[in-house]
Amino acid sequence: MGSGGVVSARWAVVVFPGSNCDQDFVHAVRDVLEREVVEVWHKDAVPEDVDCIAIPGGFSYGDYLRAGSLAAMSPVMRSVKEHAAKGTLIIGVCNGFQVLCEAGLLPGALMKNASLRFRCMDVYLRTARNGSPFTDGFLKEGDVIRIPMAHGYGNYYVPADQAEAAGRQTLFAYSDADGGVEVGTNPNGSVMNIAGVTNERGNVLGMMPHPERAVEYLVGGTDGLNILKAMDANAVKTGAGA
Amino acid sequence: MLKVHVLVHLRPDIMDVQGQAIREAVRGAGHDVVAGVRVGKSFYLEIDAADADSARDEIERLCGETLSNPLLEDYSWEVVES
Repeated sequence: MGSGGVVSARWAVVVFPGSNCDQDFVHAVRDVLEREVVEVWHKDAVPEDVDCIAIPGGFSYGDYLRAGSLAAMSPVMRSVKEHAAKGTLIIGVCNGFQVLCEAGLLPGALMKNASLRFRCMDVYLRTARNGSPFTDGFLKEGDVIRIPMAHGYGNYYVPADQAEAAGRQTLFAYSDADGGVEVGTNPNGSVMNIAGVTNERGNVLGMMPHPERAVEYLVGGTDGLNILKAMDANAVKTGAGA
Repeated sequence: MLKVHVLVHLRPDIMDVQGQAIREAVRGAGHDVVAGVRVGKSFYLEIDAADADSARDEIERLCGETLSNPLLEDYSWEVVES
């Protein structure tokens, strides 16, 4: 629950040098969800009374060393890790997914797309399971959403000994329009077609496609809004950030 | 001051798509002798330490936790100037 007993989630969007989807997230939360949102610069700390945190896409630190690796070491991530430990809902999209993997908050790593191409297009994602705060009440197992992706390093990898866990923790898989998950619906070579995966506890989600870019009919659909609405509703219900 | 050279490469069991693309390109340009290419990163570090022994643990951690991603990459390092 947010501060002052108001039953609506408070959001934070983390901004690194080189983030370029931060304002998309701010717009989606402030203008579409109509929630309070604070932008947090990478040198600062995420306020304690925040219920939901977004780590946006872009090219933090110019993708130097490895995508997301330098951002993962920046001061703001200490507070993000504290929030993760107390159950705050945290979503990392695209570069944000890479940052969360590099920070050790999610399993696995993201490699260069198997095709070597930067791929920018809409993709279908099959919801892989029920019982996640990122979907509950808005998407159920088998539901398919269509949202955009745009990345060169989205090829998700986990070592063989972690594959079973990653399979259990998968929340979204690249699919066709009917929810068929096959080699031909895999845009980047990701193991098991994984597009989005949570930590074991289930309060941290990383995904390559962009839900925050699919929140208005005017710009191609509102499927992504399901994820943001689910976070918003379920964070307050569980009082994760209080 | 020590100068340390670090090399980081994708592990042998990880497909190196960049290396494969370079292999195809250079063979296409006539360099038929090139049977394989692996791409990596090279770092020269200046380490404020008297000798390699006193800095060894820290260099190992730096290489294993930061300069490489242990899920994907191997590293090696050597002191090139002390």
